[in-house]
Amino acid sequence: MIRLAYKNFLRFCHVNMLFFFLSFLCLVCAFGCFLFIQERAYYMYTVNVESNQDTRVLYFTCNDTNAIQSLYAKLENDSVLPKMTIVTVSDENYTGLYWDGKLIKEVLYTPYGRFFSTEEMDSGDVVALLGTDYFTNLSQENLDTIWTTGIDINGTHFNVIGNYFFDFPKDSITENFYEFAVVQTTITIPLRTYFDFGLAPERFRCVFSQPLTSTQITHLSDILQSVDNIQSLSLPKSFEANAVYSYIDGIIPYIAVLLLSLLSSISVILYWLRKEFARYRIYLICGAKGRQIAFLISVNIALLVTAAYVCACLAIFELTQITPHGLVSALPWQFYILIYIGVMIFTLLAVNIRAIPIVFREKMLQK
Amino acid sequence: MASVLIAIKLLWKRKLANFVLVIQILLSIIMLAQVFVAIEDYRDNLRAVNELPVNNTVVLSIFDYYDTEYVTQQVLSSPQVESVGRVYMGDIVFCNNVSCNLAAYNEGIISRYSPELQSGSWLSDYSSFSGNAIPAVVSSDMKLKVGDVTDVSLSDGQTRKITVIGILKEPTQYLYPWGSASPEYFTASSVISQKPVIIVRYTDFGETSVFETPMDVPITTSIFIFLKSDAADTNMDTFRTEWNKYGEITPMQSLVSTFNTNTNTMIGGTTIMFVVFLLLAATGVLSNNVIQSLRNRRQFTVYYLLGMDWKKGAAVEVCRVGILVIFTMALSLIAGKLGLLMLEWMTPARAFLFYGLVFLYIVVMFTAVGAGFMIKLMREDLSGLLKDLQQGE
Repeated sequence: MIRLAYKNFLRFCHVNMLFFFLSFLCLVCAFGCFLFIQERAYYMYTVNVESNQDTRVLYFTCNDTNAIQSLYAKLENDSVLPKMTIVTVSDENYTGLYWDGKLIKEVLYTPYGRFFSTEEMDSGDVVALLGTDYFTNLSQENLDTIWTTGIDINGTHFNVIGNYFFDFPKDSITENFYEFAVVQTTITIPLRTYFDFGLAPERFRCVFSQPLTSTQITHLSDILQSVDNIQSLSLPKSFEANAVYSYIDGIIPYIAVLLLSLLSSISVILYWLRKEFARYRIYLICGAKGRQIAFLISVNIALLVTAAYVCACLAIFELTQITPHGLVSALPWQFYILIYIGVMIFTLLAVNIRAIPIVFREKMLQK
Repeated sequence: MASVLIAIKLLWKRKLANFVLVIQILLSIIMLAQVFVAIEDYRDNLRAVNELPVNNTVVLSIFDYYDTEYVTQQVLSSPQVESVGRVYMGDIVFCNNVSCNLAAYNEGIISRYSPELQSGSWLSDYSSFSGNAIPAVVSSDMKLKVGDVTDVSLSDGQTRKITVIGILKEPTQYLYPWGSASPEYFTASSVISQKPVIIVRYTDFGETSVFETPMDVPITTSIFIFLKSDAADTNMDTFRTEWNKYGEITPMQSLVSTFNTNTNTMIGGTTIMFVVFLLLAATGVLSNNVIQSLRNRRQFTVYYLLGMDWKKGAAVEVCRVGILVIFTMALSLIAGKLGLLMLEWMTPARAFLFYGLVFLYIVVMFTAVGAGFMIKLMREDLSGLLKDLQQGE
């Protein structure tokens, strides 16, 4: 049967070369456009995953200042959880910050000066970064000299090594801000320095190096439950809901159009297949079963769809290479397989549902 | 009339396919609008970008906690600096019943920057202000002529008299640093404006509060530092070390290259999306027209046997395409009204040009395949058509 179907397909393509090309072209265009839209939505998804970090961020507030430090130590040494790449603790005036430069290259943007070096963070040096709103209260003279004179925190002199944009009046800051912001106050010092100086943190926020699995989230939840006085708590999410919604938003407006385009391609294929129906009718008269006819039609479609899909994938691969950065992102291979299965099922169903009744109707008429 | 009715009947028979086709073309028109706006935006800025003083120039976006005059003096004290340019920008002013920007350039800008003029002369040709009216260069959309003297109503309630000495070339483009960003993202389009404008020499304007920044709104002021020619070889890090505490430093060349990169990304991205939807639309048009034409062949053969002239068949085909074109054009007009075609980003003249392009696009899309089949239909051998009608017998 497979051999017959394959030979039929080749002969059929050879006899109706123009229609074969037309069907093939329509399918390549439809698949290519579908894949490109998917790649575009996938790029938005990856951007959202990177910026939202929903599956990696832990945030809580706690009025027991010692609890935060001991929890940090626990999380740091926990073998079940991934490493923490960014850790922020803060009170009303100061932020303690740790940033693992080995795991995340991007550090806090400092328009003047520099971010803490790894050595400064590890050894707990007396260095500080200042938010831009800190400077608004300084005199012209102090603005120029603060980089050499430094600032005092609880009677200890700190060197000021850089600034960062921070223009949020205290009364306008909401809880949501602390949940998302890496720096939360106008003065930022290394995390180790923060703990060494006995400052009293009220908030804890950390970003793990990898998304947490449900087991890890449960484990994390258990650790936190052992601590009293934890108030607002936001655990890492089990999936990037916002990113997934952005992906769906990116494809939904086009899916209907792409499906309609696939349908119009199918109408060409059907028109083309009609030329083969005479042969199928002869097979039916000679005793072929309905399912065998469906099989022959399906093989025709499967071969056509596969050839068109492979060509579309190659075209999209080339297109992705020349597309400007920041527009599309290559899909994981699993997506290509899923899309292939999806379009194959859709095309097979659509063609068979339309074609089989026509073949049988004409056979009945001839009878 | 009969031809039109037959055409409508033919369209109705394949209503779903035709609906899909029109929607696909409409989507590609939406993408076309984005390409059009991106290209027009690029053209709007291009001339001004090329006119910007680029050589030996750096932009310093001053932190809002620093006093601009103080920083300017500090920068000027450097031996490598030739001059410092600054644009004083006020609130919207009214002149000749037009709301417009007021830009006061200092000497540094006037001597290094001269935008292309439609008529008249640039501010540098008038060394100083003498008389009652301040020499001003205005944009052509102010509807003023060289030599006109008119009043400008300032935001503080005062008025100033200006005399027009030059008119900017159309479309309006001029240096107006309204925005800033970190060096990686700072682009030339942030220092250019296309709004109606009155440009004056700052010293001619005299003391006024209209250029003062409101205390409650932190606005980053950018100054242009023109370096001496022998400082061109100096490493940028030297300047960064010296002035970075006052603000963010970006070489002017970087603003232009960021602008070019952003523009290429925007135009490239929108063009690719347009091509994707154009392909979808072309697929729909091709498949629909091929099937429609093959069906028409059969139908028209029957009509021919019943005594209808071939030309009548061609007329029906023309009507069918014409109805599709009119229907799609009407839908694109509705889409424009619904805000899907970015018409708010276009001037009336550009919107008119865009719809002209859309009409051409629709006509080409619908007739490209249809015309070929119509010619074939006119030259077809009747026996071949009859054979096709009888499915080979």
